[in-house]
Amino acid sequence: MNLMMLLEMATSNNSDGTAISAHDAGLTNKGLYRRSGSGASYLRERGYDAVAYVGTNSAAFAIAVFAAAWAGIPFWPLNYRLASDQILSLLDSDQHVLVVAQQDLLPAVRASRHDVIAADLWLDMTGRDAPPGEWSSDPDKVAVLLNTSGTTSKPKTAVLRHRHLASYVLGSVEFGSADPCDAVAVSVPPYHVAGVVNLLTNIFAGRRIVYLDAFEPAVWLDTVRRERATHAMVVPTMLARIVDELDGTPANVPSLRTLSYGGSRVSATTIVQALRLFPDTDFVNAYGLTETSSTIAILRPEDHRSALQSNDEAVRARLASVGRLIPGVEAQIRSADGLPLPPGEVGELWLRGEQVSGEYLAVQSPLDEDGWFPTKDRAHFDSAQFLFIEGRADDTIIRGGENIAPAEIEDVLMQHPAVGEAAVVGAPDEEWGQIIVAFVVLREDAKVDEDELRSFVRGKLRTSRTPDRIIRRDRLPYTDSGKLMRRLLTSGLT
Amino acid sequence: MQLRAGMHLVSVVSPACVIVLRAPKNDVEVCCGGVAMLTAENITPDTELPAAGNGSGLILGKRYAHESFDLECLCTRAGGGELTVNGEPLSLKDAKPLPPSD
Repeated sequence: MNLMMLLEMATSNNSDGTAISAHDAGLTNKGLYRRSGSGASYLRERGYDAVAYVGTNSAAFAIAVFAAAWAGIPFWPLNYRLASDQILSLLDSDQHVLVVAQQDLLPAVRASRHDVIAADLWLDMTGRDAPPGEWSSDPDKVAVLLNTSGTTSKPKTAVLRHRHLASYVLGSVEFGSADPCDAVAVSVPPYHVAGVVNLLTNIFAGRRIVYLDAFEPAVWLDTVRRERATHAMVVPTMLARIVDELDGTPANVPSLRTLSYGGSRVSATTIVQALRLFPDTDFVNAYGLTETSSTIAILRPEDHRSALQSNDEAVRARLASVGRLIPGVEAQIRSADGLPLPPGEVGELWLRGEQVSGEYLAVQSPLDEDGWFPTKDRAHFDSAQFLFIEGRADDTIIRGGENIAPAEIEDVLMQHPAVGEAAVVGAPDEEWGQIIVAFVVLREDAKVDEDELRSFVRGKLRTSRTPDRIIRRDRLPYTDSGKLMRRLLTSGLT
Repeated sequence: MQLRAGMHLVSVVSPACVIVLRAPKNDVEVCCGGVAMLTAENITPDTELPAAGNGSGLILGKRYAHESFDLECLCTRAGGGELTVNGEPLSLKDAKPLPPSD
C-alpha cells in the first residue's frame, strides 16, 4: 500500500482532470503523477531520507507529498510562520533532508545544514521527464511526519505510515465520487494534518482543489464565488472571521454545497450565525487529531439541521458535539483509573483503529497494550453515540476540588453581545488551588465592565464557574489552525 | 490464504487488481474469473499477466464485498472476471459516502 496508488487510480480514471489550482501552477492528475515521478527520481538519486516543505499551499507542496511517497521517504511539512530559529531547531536532524522552501522563506532556512531548494525550482525541475522506478508497496513505510501543535506541551513529531493514511482515505472516501465541476477551496495550512489529508481525499474523490494562501475572509468569499467552489474547508477561527466579515448579510455563495470545519473548538454562537448566513450550504464538523490521520468523528449536515430545529434539549445540544464516530474507529471514555465509563459520563477519550497511529519520533508511544491511543481530550458520549469534547485534559481548571472545563465558561461569555472572543485559564491560588481567569476581546465599540460580565456568567452557570478575574485584551493568541495558545495566557499570570 | 487489510491481489486472467479493505480471520481463496488471485509477493518475472480486459468485470474504485466472510475489496485496476471467495461471488457494495471533511 502506497499513497501513490490513490493518485494512480485518479489518473487512470481521469488523466486530464484538474487536480490542483494554486498560485504557482495548475496541475492535472496526469501532470501531478508525472511530476511526482520526476521528483521521486531526484530524491532517490541523491539518497534523501526525507522531504521537508516550508511554505503555503501550492502545487509544489502537492508534488512534494507524492514524490516523497513514490520515493518511499517521509514528507514533512513545517509551520512556515515559526521564527527562523524554531524552524531550524525542528530541522536539526542527522537525516539527509531536502528542504523545499517558498521564495520568501528561503532566508529563514538558509542556515540549515540541509540542502534547500526553492519551491519554484522544485516545480520547474519536476516538470522535466525523469521516470523513476516502482514505488514500494510496504504499508509500514513512513508517509508523513507532522509536528503536533504543542498548545499545552512541547511539540512532538507524529508519525503517520502509508497504512494509516490509506486506511482513512479508502475507508471514508468513495473513489471518483465528485461531480466534474466540483471544486474545494482549501485554506487549511499544509503543515496541519487536515492540509495533508485533504490533498489525498480530494484526489481520490476526483475533486479539484483550489488552494488559498494566507487567509483573509473577504478574499475567501471572493475566491469561493469566482471559482464556484462547491466545497470548502476551514478551521473555526476562519469561520468566525467570515461570519464577522459578513456582518449579518447572507453570504451569497450559491455554488457552495458543503462547508467543512474542524481543528479546534467552534463556539455555538459562531456556528448558529454561520448556519443562518449560509442557509443553502451543508455544514460538516470534523473532529480528529494529527495522531489519528485526521477525522475520526463527523457531525453531518442533517445532524446540524436536526439540532437547530429540534425542541428536544438533548438533540439541540448536539450542535455542540463533534458527531458520531466514522466506521472503522472505536472509542472509549475512561475514568482517571482507566475504567471505561458509560454514556453521559465525562472522562478521557481513547481511540483505536487502522487509521490511529499514536506514534512519535524519539518519544515513547502512548498506546496501551491493546492499541488504544489516549487523546488527552476530556469527552463524553450521549445516549445516541454523539461525541462531546469538553477540552484538553491539561486545560481543565481544578478550583476547590471541582473540575471545570474552560470551554463551558468561554461559550457562555461568547453569548454576551459585547464579547467577541473569550479564553479561560486557571491561575495558581493558595486558597482554591486554581482560580478562574477569563481573557476577553470585546467587539468594536462595545463596552462592558468586569462585574457585569461576571453576573452574566453567574446567571447561566454555577457560582463556582464564575470567573474570579476578567482581563480585557485586544487579541488572543491562536495557532494557524485556530487552537488557542493557553500556555501563553497562563504564563503571564502568577 | 490468510488475507490482511492492505494486501494487494492480482488477477491472472485479466489486468484486474484489488486491495483488501476488510479481511476474514480464516484462510480463504479469492478468485477472479474462477482462478486464484496472486499476492504481490507471489508474482515472479515469469508470471504471465494478461494485458487486456475480457468483458465486464471489476470497475476501478468500486468496492466488492461478501458480508458473511467479512471480506471487502476495492478495485485498484479495472479488468474482467467476477470476484469470488471460496466460490461465492462478492457483490458490488452500495456507496454510502461520508460527507467530505478532514
